[in-house]
Amino acid sequence: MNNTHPEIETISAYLDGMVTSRERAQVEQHLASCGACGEITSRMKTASSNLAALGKVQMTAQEQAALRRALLGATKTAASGSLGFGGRPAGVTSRGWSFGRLQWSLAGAFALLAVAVVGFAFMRSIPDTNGGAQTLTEAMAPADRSAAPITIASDDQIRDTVLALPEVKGSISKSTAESGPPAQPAPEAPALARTDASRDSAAAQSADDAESFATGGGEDGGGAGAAGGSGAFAGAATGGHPFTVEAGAACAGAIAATQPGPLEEIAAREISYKGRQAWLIVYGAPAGSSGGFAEIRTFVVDPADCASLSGEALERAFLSRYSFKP
Amino acid sequence: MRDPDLEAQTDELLVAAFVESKDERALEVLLARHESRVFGIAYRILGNRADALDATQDVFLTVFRKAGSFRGQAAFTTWLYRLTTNACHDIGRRKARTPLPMETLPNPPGAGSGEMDTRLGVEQALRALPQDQRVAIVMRDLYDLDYEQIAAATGVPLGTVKSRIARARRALAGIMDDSRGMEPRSGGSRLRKQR
Repeated sequence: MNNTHPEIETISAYLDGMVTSRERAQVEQHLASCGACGEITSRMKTASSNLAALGKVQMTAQEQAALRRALLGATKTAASGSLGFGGRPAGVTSRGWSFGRLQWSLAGAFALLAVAVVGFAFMRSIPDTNGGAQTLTEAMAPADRSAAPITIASDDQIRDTVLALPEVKGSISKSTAESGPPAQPAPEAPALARTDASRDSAAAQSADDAESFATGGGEDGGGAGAAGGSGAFAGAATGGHPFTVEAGAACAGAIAATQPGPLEEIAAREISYKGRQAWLIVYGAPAGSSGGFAEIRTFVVDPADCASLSGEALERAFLSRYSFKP
Repeated sequence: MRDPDLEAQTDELLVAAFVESKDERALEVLLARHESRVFGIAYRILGNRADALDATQDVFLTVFRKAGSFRGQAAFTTWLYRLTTNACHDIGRRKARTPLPMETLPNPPGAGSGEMDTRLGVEQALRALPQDQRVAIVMRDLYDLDYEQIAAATGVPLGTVKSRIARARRALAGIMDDSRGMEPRSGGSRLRKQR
């Protein structure tokens, strides 16, 4: 053992304490005299520590509520023995819902051969009558409209939180309808303009998300959408504290003044951002003559800062900012 | 309303309570107890919240539907992790796409700091791993599962788990070194005999 480097698996298992006492002694004896293996061990230990330091991603309160509604609705369906094709309740997952509908549509198509008009009506009624469970997307929308603050524990939750807002979904759906061809599978036809090679990966990710939301394109997006204006604050009024409609509108105006180019307000929410109350304000940067939005810009700001600061001082006070292509 | 009596029950007894008496409160307790863990594992494996949410939903739907087939011969969490692995595998296969680098914040607080760069580098390196290695290393280093639990969750022998974790760690170290301009190590999984 002393003359032979330990296998990489052995070093890794040694770091996890998953070696026998004999192996452990051999590895330690070897490491004491081998700089190369010592370096590998150190690097693997660092890689492991760095990964652990990423931490455990938590669900937001909205995601938990939506999941609970969808699942517990589904259990009622399951208990009644009325599962859909393949034993899966129709309308349970955002993407599975589409699959379920397709199957029902095929069934409806056969019915049309026999009874065209009745079959068509039946096919349309199936999603509402079969599952009884909400899609995740459907379940999410009412949660967004509640007065319960959104919780964002880390910046990597911002994008998905923003995309889950019904106003934003409405804006993106409208944007896609106005500016692009009919939705196609993202891998073949990304819906995003790629500005340079370095952004391809991020663009493809965004295209994928756009595809996800296109699945729920038939839903009511929430009304405010690209229209912006006061409608953006439909869910923001919670009263009795700094997060009023008026304060939100004023804050949105102050933030917009710090940004180049025209922006349309899409949504504003009271959120809990890393443990502190804050505004989450979402804008769309108009795409120009093609319609829709070229960019979604999101800002997280303390309401006190928003009320007391302006210009560059306000910009420096942003708790977080995030932009992405719709 | 949470039921303290149910909250005190083991996972296995909660499953039994649901199977025997169709007590949905038992399912709610199971959900509350495990949803974040399932979601977190799925997020790190799949790389985005939407897919992780779908995977979490698939996992608990299966739990609810197939609770009757759970015999209690293994721990409930073993079954849960197996379902999580399967759900992630199914979603990954359905989407048939390569894991993508994490979208980056244009001006995140702390951007340019060593800590943030390291974090972004680790996340990108993690997503570049083959899924079998990513599953193993996420379960081990982020969620502290032991090798036996990972083997049970993934349905592979212990030696395979050991190998996947080792290769994932070496790849993570190598990718991060690349990002710092250092040469990655060459060679296979075994080290050469010392001269």
